Amino acid sequence: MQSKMKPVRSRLGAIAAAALMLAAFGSAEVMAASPRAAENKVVLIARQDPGTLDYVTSNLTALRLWIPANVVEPLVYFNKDGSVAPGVAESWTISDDKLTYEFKIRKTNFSDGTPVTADDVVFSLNAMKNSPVVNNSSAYNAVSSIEKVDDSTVKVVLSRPSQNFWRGMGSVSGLIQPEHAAATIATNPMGTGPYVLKSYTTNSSFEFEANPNYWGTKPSITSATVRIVTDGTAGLNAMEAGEVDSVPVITIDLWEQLTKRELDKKFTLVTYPQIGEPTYAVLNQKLDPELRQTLAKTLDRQSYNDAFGAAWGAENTCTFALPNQPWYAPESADTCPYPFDYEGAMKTVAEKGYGSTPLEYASLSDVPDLSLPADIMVPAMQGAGFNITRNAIDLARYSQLIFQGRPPQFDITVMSGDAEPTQFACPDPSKAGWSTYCSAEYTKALGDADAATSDEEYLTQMKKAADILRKDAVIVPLIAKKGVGLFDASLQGFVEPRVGVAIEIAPLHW
Amino acid sequence: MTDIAATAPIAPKKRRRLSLNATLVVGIVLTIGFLVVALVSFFWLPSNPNIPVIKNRMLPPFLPDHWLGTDGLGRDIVAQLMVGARTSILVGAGGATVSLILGTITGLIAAAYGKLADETISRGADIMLSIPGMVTALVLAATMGSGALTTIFALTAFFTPSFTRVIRSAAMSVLQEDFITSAKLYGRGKLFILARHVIPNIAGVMIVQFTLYFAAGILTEAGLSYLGVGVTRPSISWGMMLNEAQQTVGISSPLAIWPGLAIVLVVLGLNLLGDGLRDVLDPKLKRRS
Amino acid sequence: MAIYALRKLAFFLGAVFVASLAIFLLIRGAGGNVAAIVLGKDATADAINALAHTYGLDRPLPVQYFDWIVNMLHGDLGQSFRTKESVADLVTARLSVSIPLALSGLILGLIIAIPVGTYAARNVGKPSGAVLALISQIGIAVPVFWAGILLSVLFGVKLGWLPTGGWIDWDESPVGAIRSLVLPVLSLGLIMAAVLIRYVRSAVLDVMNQDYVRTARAVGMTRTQALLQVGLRNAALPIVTIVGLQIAELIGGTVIIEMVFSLPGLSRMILANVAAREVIVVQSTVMLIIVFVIFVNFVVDLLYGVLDPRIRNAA
Repeated sequence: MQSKMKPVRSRLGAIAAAALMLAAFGSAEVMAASPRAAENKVVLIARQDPGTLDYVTSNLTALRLWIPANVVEPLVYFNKDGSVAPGVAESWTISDDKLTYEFKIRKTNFSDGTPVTADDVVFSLNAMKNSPVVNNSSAYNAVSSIEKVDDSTVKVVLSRPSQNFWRGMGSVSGLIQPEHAAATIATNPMGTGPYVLKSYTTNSSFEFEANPNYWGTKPSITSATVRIVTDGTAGLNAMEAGEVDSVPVITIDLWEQLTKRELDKKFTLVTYPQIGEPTYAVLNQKLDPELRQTLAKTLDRQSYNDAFGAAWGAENTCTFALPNQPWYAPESADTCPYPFDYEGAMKTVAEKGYGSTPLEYASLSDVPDLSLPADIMVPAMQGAGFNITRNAIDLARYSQLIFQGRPPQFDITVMSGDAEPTQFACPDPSKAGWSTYCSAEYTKALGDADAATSDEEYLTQMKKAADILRKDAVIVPLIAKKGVGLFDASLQGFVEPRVGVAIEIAPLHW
Repeated sequence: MTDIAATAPIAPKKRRRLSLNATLVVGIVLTIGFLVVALVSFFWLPSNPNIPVIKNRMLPPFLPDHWLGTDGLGRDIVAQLMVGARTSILVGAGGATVSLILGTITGLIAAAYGKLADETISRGADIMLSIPGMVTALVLAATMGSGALTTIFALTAFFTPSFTRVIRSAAMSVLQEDFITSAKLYGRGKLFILARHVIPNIAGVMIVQFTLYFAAGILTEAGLSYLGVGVTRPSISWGMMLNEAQQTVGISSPLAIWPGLAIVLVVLGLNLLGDGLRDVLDPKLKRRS
Repeated sequence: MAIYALRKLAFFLGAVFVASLAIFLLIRGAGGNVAAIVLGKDATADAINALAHTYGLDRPLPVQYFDWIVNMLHGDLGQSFRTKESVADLVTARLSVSIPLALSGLILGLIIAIPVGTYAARNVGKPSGAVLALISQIGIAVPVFWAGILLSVLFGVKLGWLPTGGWIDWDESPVGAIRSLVLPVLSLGLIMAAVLIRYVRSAVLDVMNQDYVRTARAVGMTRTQALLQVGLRNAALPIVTIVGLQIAELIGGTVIIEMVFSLPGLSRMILANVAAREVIVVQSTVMLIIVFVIFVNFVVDLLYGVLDPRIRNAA
């Protein structure tokens, strides 16, 4: 009898203990909505872990969201209204021919207390000039020299006027780091910003604290935790449960939840274009142009938008740009040279016998934002009569076969990424990038835009470039996604990113 | 004792009655149901499980056209479950069969062919068992690319050593029984003893292990596909459906229920079948009654 | 016994060596390199090669293997290419998540399984035993990640009692850390229990049907006395084996559970680093786990020898 009772008792015991535990933790949850408001703290959620914080050699959004502007500042800031505000450079002069830039360095200290010197600035700009990341180094294409004039002045000389250089000085390309701490940049980047990175644990969190040496107004928020939660739903749940104060970057796969769960009503929903991304199909340039155009006609942009169930956050477009870029245009007859025409595409496939051309569709299996468009695109193209094999591969293999592969191993793929048009610049076909796109005409238009001496001329050339890109049907945009963020209703002051995509913590306040 | 030594070698008598106990019946019913669904999927599906119908997104269950509703792209759940059953059989049974064959061969060699063979095989099995299976599979998926074959290969890699160990230890305990000693005294050869005495005596273990690992194969495949390194579209797996469902769990939780239920029913069916068979086949249990 | 132990030790070391070679080749065979992934989609081939050179990835494989082994023998597990953090530090940081998770999961599993399994075995043929066996069968059939998803839907989404995922560090809030672990441990423990119950039940059943137990009963002991005094020692053998086997399974379970609940544990770290092709981090971390598991099995083998003199003498 005794041994018969034992297991039952311990089983009940275990259940009871579990129940008690749950009850205890459950009740602990009932507390004020924002327990961190009184302490001027915030807890934010990030979806992705960068792994490295070296913004010089790495181009990951997961890192560019947090380190620039908060920890490391650029020379200047470009405000939303187009005005330029001082950053590490206190003031600057630009020669009339737009070939010489002189930056007067602010008399301030890095967060470790060492003074910012002209040497640090020269070092930082050179590091970016030599960066293996094209987005970082492209700002320096026209730069012929970077030199120290005196302890607080740095002069940059260009070989021709360059819009990209000046814009770059307000972005990641213009971030200023201390030379003596360059060795630890991957784990502990240092700068002059309002915050110090106290700790970074991969796959877990960033901890920021107010920088005691900051030159500007002390921020209201004195300490911020960015918790890395890869599961998007879990992040929203934490927000709903009041465990965190903001999910500043919410990817498209979660937008439908925001409205269905009425989180947009319970919290402050902000949309801003900067962190948005265009989603675009890439049709290998080696394919016959008419075949590419026919493929493009099978793309029903509305279905990609509807598939995410959140039309408020994305726009159909045939233009490779985000709505905040002046050359952007929503989907229209004028701006879509190959509009959705399924019947027409089927007819062309049958007439031209495209069904006999085997096509490989490379799909990134571990990125939901991209495998979902593939789920729509592949059956649609097959239905139109194309002979398509879907090759699902992980990111590492994808970078090996496509980003790194020469020639890249794909016929069709879908990608989402930053909207920088210069990434497709290609001076000669042997230097074509992963997208296979190479057009002398396009590259020239971009070059003309860069060398433009007025904003009007710049815009005209950028529009021209966008038009060439659309007509070539290699880079075929589908939708432009906005940046979407959720903030606790009493956490205010959010400003749209100024330095690339960086989420600035300093303007926030309870 | 002598009486056991005399009768046990001839123990696998063919006149065992198949007592149709409840376990066995439920197991058979679930397993047959599973096989039938997979078979039917080759001839008939409610709709194409891979073609999105965006206007039908996330329909609730129990509609005339979509018995269990649709997923985030308007694809029918029943159709996907049916095609998923094929994947489960292909990968689960494939992995378990290859592992059973390899594991029985290596296990018996280890048990009967001396210390060197035993140590080599056992240590080999230890090494393979100590490499965490999920990580192996992930690296394999990176090496070979994801897909059903990679998954079967991964399953074989981490099931075989388990089979080896279990078969070895079962065979060893049989080999230490007194009747084996008497068989040796009769001058029986090693292969004869293995084939005539050991295998029949461990057949129950083998069957239990096979069904267990068929089921475990289905579970593991689901896990790998859930992690995104198993089967990918246009193939369909229940684990993959759960992966997709978790992305919409905040909107529609039923999507996270059906594939899970399917896995539970099938794995339960196979395990009950194995247990039922074990109760019927195991000579030791038989002896007791 | 000493010779038996020495032999086991020799094979332990041999196994570690073979495992190191296997894991090295497996990971290096994966293709793709960390430089390309770090540099992203716009990197030039030159930049990738230059970065690969600084990481030492362009050296011949045998040199890299030898280098890795020599460093490990000196206690240097290497460092992350990207962040320069040492693997030892990375692993230590993750253990504060993974060890509590895996250990609590296993303990919860055992706490449930041993009494329930014994009870089920002793009541075989009776309704109560059948019900327990059925519950355990259903438990085995439930994929651990589905249990995780369902628990997180119930307690996280619907009831809002516990976080559905994510991690709060022990330093930041011990209560937060425990709260983050409750659902993962529960998912892992329940599923482990279901598997273990089955093993405990069959082990006890086997022992109960052994002739010595029947003999013991024949000489007048009750079934319970026979089981406790004679059978337990023999039932311990398969149970020890199973616990040894379950270590690897437990690690597999934590991989998935850490994914379901976004916990920054050891397994998540390995997966992320495989994806990022941080080969040194993966090699060294996986190697640590393998050494640990081989060590556990080594101990299990020694216990075998202690528990069953026949095996000791046979070897």
